[in-house]
Amino acid sequence: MGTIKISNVSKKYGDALVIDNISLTIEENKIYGLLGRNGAGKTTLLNIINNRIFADSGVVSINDKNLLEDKKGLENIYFMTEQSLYPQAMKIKELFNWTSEFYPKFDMAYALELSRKFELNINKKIKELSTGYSSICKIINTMASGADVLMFDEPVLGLDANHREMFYKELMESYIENPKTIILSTHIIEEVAQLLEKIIILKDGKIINEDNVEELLAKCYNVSGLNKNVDEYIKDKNCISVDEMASFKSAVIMGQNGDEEKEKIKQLGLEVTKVELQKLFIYLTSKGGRK
Amino acid sequence: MNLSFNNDVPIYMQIALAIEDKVLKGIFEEEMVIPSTTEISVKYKINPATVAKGFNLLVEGGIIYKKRGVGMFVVAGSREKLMGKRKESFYENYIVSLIEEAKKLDISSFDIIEMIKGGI
Amino acid sequence: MKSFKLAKYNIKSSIKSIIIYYSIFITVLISISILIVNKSSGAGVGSAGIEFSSMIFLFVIGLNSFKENFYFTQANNIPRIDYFKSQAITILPIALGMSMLDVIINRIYNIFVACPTIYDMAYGGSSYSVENVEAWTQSNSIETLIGTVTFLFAFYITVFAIGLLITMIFYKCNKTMRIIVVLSPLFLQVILARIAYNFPNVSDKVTSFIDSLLGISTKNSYMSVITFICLFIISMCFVYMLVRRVVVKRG
Repeated sequence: MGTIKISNVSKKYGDALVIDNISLTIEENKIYGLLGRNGAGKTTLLNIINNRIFADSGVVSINDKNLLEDKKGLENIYFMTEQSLYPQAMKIKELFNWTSEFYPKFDMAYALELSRKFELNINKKIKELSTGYSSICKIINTMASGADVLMFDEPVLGLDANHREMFYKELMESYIENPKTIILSTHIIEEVAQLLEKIIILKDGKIINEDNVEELLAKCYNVSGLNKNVDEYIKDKNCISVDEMASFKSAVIMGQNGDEEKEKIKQLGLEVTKVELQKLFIYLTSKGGRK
Repeated sequence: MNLSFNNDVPIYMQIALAIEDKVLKGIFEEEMVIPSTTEISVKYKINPATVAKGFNLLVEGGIIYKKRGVGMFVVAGSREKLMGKRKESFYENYIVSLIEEAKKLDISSFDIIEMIKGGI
Repeated sequence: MKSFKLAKYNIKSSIKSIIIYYSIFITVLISISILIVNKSSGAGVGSAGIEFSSMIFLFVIGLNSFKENFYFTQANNIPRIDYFKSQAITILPIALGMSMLDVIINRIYNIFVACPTIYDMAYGGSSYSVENVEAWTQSNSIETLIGTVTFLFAFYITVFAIGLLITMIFYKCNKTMRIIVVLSPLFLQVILARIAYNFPNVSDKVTSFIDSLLGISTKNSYMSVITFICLFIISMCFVYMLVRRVVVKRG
């Protein structure tokens, strides 16, 4: 219950164009990764979708209803922000209670179970939580909300490795048990790479890539070898990044690695390896990095 | 099940290969149940769609089948099937690179055969 | 309905402050009563208009009704219109409850110390006059009681709405604008004083206009009830206009 469509949305902060004419469709029940460097526009985009801030132009529609006219779609989205919007003096168990008032499908038993697993003391007040536990509290609240669309903005801020792993596992379980749309906006790319089905990469307010993770990784590879051989190979290819070390060169190519290419690689005596999602992301979003 | 991920092969393929391996080694016995997509998805933190894709490969290859309401089972005779399949690609996957490497190191075919004899 | 749930939340979070306020208020009144009653020559000592403290209290509540509450609605993806509605819904029972409670407290207090309410002082018929303070006794007629409660109610909701409006204006302003807003009453006072000095007829007209709005000469408290309700509505209109475009601040 929740296809989200964003059409030609733009947003300026002062002179800076933070979101530059973005169009995007978020399909139901898939796990999305929203990736981008600091300041690329991820949080702004999520804020616009959730009507927290207003786009300068463009349309957001949830279930084919324009957000400006019909805000009912928002009832089915729970958006976990980096900023804490909860009353500081509120106790966590009160928070769960109030969330269940506004999200009728809230699963209190699940919230309590997760609190136990993460060792979150629900009698504590929001202001008494450390950074890590603040994130945990927000995560649990989001996951138990029962909403059909969950959006997480930097969910694992301050979480230790154990808690991060616990989060990913619980997320998978929850997703399998009750399929829903999940959007993870995060900098910790490599950890979530296998959880994601699709990714959206933002750079300078534009979408530079929108793909199935698997397909994206399938069409990228790394060739390395002697300088002249690598140069020969990459001259007619879509080369994303080049690295030099003495007479040894390494380049990342985006494109099919078919038989013809394999033949040429063998001929030139080059070595081929696959590229990790995080590395690929870095190449695509570096200054001057090419598409 | 032990899955360590590298990046040279798509994840769904790695899952399929790992299960095939276990069938070959006899760890997953025929007509026995194997871990479900949910269990693998949660344990290894992999998107269920990816796991399902790997499982589908195996179903199509006749290695596993689904018993509704119970789980995924190893097809009888799949071990034999896999052995046959693997034998066919043995030359491509192992011998070719062995010869290449040996050439790089100037190892003669005689030495290779001696090494193999010593190894077995 | 979301606005009602929010109103429930607002009221629940205000209850604590209200209880603390009344505890302090009543304690102070009791202390004053004891002091005054013990002083056998309680000649001419009394209090008046103690509802001013409730007015200030509600103004402060209004000042605090924006940020935390609004942020909370945002966290739950609640539309801004529902936040606005909840604010209007919240103040009504609180103001009504407090106005009735204040009248009750006043009547009890009057057993020990003569204390006219603002209403009594402004509209108390002929029984209250500045010259005749000692002779005054608190009236408990239905007329007075209803008049006082309605007056206080209208006064309280207005004061709350103004507090809310001010806090929202402040929120939207940058540093310089805020300084201007804070200093504006001062400027206004200076300007008005100048006008009053230089143009006595204008100031007379203005004074009589305000008088009629508040029904003071006519001793008609319901005029001021109407005036206050209009002020409340106007303030809430401005609040609504501001709410429509307000956003959580970054960082």
